[in-house]
Amino acid sequence: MAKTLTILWRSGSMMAMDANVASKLAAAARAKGYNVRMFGYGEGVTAVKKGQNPKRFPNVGNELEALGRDGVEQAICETCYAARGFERGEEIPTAKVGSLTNNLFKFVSESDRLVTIAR
Amino acid sequence: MKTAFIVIRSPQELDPTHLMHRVAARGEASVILFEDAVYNALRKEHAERLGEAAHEVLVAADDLQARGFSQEDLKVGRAVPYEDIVDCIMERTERTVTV
Repeated sequence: MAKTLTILWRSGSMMAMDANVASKLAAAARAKGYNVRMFGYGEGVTAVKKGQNPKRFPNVGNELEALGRDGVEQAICETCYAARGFERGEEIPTAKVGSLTNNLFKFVSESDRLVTIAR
Repeated sequence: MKTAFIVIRSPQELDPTHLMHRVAARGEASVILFEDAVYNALRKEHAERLGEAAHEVLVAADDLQARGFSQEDLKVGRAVPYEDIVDCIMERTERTVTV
């Protein structure tokens, strides 16, 4: 049975390249056959906003959506999402608006490794 | 315990070796440098400190090249693709610590 990696990221999509590092790490792990789960917390929830259109940077929303279609389970913190004025339906279709208790804790308890990408 | 330290911040912001020394012995410590943390492997004094704290220093090649540097510029460690970083995290170490 393949090992599972959970990636927790806490930086916003336009803050730095942290979310892109998280997505590239997830893509590499998937390519090697690992199960991958991702959880966005704090400013990290902005990375799943649908319709991002950066002019000079990689589109992390598109990267995450592609990962989701490749089997990477994704969830974000609902409280963090609502706190920033987002509503359900504004997220990419592969991301679940979830919670620490229902998603992150489950991800971590079922994973072999946890990587936190945060500042 | 074999530990992979994840570092993303520049050495101007943070010296990761203080925590690394406290958490794992050099022989059990690997460090992975992303984003501006790659400068830890490019400047002599930072690289020496890092080499004393970890037996393995992996530098994300994408992030190194994005800043105009290459393997030849490294004072410690090696530039690797993300696949090698995954191997370190999933197979060669037992936990990760983000500094």
